[in-house]
Amino acid sequence: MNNTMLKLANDKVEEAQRDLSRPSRETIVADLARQFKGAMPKERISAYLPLTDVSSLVSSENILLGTVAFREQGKEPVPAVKQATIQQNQFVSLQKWQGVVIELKKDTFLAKLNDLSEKGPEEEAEFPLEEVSDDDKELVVPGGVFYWNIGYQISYQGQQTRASIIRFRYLPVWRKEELDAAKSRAQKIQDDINWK
Amino acid sequence: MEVTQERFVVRTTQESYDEPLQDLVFGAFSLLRHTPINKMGINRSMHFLIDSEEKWNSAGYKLAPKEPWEGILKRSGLISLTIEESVKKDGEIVRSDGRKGYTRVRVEPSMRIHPGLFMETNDHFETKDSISTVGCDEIINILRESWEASYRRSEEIMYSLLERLVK
Repeated sequence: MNNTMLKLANDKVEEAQRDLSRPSRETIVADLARQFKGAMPKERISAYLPLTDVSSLVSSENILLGTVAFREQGKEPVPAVKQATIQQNQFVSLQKWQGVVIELKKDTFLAKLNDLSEKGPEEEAEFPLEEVSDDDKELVVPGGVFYWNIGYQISYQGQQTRASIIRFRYLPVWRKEELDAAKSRAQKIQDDINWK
Repeated sequence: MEVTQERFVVRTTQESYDEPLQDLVFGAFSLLRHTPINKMGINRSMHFLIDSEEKWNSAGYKLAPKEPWEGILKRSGLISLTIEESVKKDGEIVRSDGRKGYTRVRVEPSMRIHPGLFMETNDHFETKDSISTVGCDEIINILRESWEASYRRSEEIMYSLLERLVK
């Protein structure tokens, strides 16, 4: 793609973005300035708006904004790509265990622990249920497997915080309906074969 | 996660996700058992902050001595070094554990921290006969049997190497 086409593609994308429901930063500033005209200077309003989006996803990627169609016949749409740098958080484990739930109590659960950092004897520990994420709570049943990490959470700004993280294991299991459906299909195939 | 027709890649920067990542792969390919997979890599990378620029330069000289380059290049410096551990057995490349494949270690100046070193281990595995491989049971079994050893060994390799380079 040459520079002229790339500029044209980016101009088209910016024009398309202005039509999208999500307003651009310039639009937000202009709207606020109109609302508070005479009461708050434009520079002051700009200072309250975040300059960058922060996310704990991958460090950088090319973000495909879409494709831009050209009016000329025979020209294929070109991808409009913007490179964005996204900040990321990290977690450094000091110690990790694999645990198996033995007993679920009212506000806690008892588990057997196997040290993943160093070989050692099995241990038992009691954990408060509030340390389990809402998504994982239904997995806290006897036999449920989880990973317990203690270490440091390091934010993209460099702030280190001691942290303890419990994550339950998600492994797919065949549901009864799926097994029954598979048996039915197999039976049908068997019935359709004319054995001679 | 990146999935193309030829590759399935999962990665994380959070150590607490290392084991769940393994579960994700087990889970995905337990359901997709018929996906033919004849190669797999377990890769681990770390950035290490070095105490001083002097130690950092010394690490580079130990990995790539300057003497062979004197008089050939005016100002030379290490950009990247990769070392492979493997043996040839019956015409095939075999790992130290006897499986088909190799272990590679890459060392570079870190692009994230300075002065720093970046290290990456690549534990590469292949099925016994890649042409006739059907499904992914063989590779998933290799993953199940090799994950823990690979995880521990990658740390041993990187920390041992680091200790020798900055002593």
